[in-house]
Amino acid sequence: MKDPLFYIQSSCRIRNRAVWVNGEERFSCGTGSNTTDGEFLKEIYRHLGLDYPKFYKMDLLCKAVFLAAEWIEKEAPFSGTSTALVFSNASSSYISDEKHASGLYKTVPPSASPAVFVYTLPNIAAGELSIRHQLYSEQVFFTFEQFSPDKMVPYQEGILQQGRAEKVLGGWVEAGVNGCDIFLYLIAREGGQKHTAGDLLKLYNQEL
Amino acid sequence: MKDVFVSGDYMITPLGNGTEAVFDLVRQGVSGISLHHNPEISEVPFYAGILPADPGGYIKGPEKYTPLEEKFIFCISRLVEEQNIPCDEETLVLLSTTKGNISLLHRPEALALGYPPDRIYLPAMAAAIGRFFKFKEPPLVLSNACISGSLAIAVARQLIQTGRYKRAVVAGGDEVSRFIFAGFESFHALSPEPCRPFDRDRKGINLGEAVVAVYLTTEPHKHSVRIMGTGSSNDANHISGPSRTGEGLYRSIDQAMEEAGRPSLDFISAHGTATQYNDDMESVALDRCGLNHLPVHSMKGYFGHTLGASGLLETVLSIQSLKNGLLVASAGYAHPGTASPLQVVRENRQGDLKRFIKTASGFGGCNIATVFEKTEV
Repeated sequence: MKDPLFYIQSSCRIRNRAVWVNGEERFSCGTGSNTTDGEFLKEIYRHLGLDYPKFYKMDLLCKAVFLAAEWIEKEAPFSGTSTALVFSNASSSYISDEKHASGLYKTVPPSASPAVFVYTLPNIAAGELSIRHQLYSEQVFFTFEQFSPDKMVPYQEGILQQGRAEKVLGGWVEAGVNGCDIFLYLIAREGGQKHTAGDLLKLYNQEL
Repeated sequence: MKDVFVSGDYMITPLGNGTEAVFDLVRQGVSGISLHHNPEISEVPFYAGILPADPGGYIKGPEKYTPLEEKFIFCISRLVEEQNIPCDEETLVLLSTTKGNISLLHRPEALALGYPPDRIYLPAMAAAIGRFFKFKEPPLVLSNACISGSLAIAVARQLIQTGRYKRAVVAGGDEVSRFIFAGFESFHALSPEPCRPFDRDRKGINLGEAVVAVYLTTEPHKHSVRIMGTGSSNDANHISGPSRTGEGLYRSIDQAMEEAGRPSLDFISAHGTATQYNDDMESVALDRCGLNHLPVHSMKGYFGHTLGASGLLETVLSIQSLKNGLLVASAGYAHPGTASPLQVVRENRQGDLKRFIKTASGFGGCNIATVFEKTEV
């Protein structure tokens, strides 16, 4: 039996203070700007006209993933569907890890906050999306040194082949010392572009 | 769909090394949790399950390994030797951890011991472990809060079933560090006494350390255990608090049971962290699944919460229960006191045990359930 093919329905890239959706630039704050990634994400939030107070509590990783998912939702809605989340990055939850560790080792007296500690797990970003989009789905978080579509594709397709979900929202979701490098993509049985490691890598690289 | 079996295992715990030796102490009611005075972790004494301070001597390698890496290497080495596992590209090596070498972060005194600073990153940790074994590719790493260990088994099974790999070594581990201790303390989630899962007077969790590895195959060996079904579902409710309705766990169990063909089960190896909310949530979910008449226990009373190892540790101990026909008492339990009633195992019980379900839940609203069955080979 020939393996069924899967397709990328929509993708969103956030990098270098620009947002690319399905391969086209949709929003940016211009080159040479001093805007930090954190400020840029707030600009995206305002640009999208969102009203979701939980956004302001999130760490940089969760904010970036949340916004990329909002953009995909506009192009190819997945809210309330059976959509599994398969995310990956290199530095896990480093931004919040560093904040929590600074509170313990670089602050007098040492302090720890549950509002920071809860974000010291990378899968919290998937949890935030589940709440926002009502996804009661399987979620897996891998770490790789760099975006590794050859490792992601077999697992993502396995979920669809085994009927564990109708769609998969996959992603490279890095938010570390070098800022945000986000690439989210929605995979299903229908769509424009084939879901292969090569196609994913092309979409990941084309805006740079 | 191809069957996948758990065909071997190894563990490093505060009760010793090697599954049979550890299970033998558990059946005698010995707990790995004790009172520790370690100012590197906490100014005040605390109950936890801590591995021996000096893991040195485990490994003589070409490079410097952190204590956690040494334990991973030791555990995987023993499993690979005992089971004669080929270390080739058809063997998936998957690591499960929540925080890896996080105890190196902002700790110059730890880095002064010569551990490379980049090992706070999970891919660097995995690559170092991979180099020791001369694997062609670095091990995959999965980090999914407290369900990591059980989820890693499910992920490895899927990658075997869909043909990407022929077999898998899945290893999970975490350390008790100030980082993790202070975080759980800030949630007021730590128990000032040995933890009491599902008990009326439970006061929270104890943290624990363990490194555990399993070998997954498509052919059953002697004493293999078949993975009948898995299910994993998010609560879609709250990032740190368990769902009051147990929605995600309910759905996870339902999916796992559906895939397994809704077999009769002999017991439940629950998550049972001994926090008020978690244990109540589990009781509600099990009630909704119509499974709360079954004997249920938590292993946290023997080992504490071993985070990235817990799903693996508790699965392997339950497999020992199947092999030995011995259901182990849930340590620390005396009085009922969960939102829905449960049949918590008070004393060891002999019996013919064929199947169990293992559950886990974690931060981020994640949940997982897996059904295992003894095979007759």
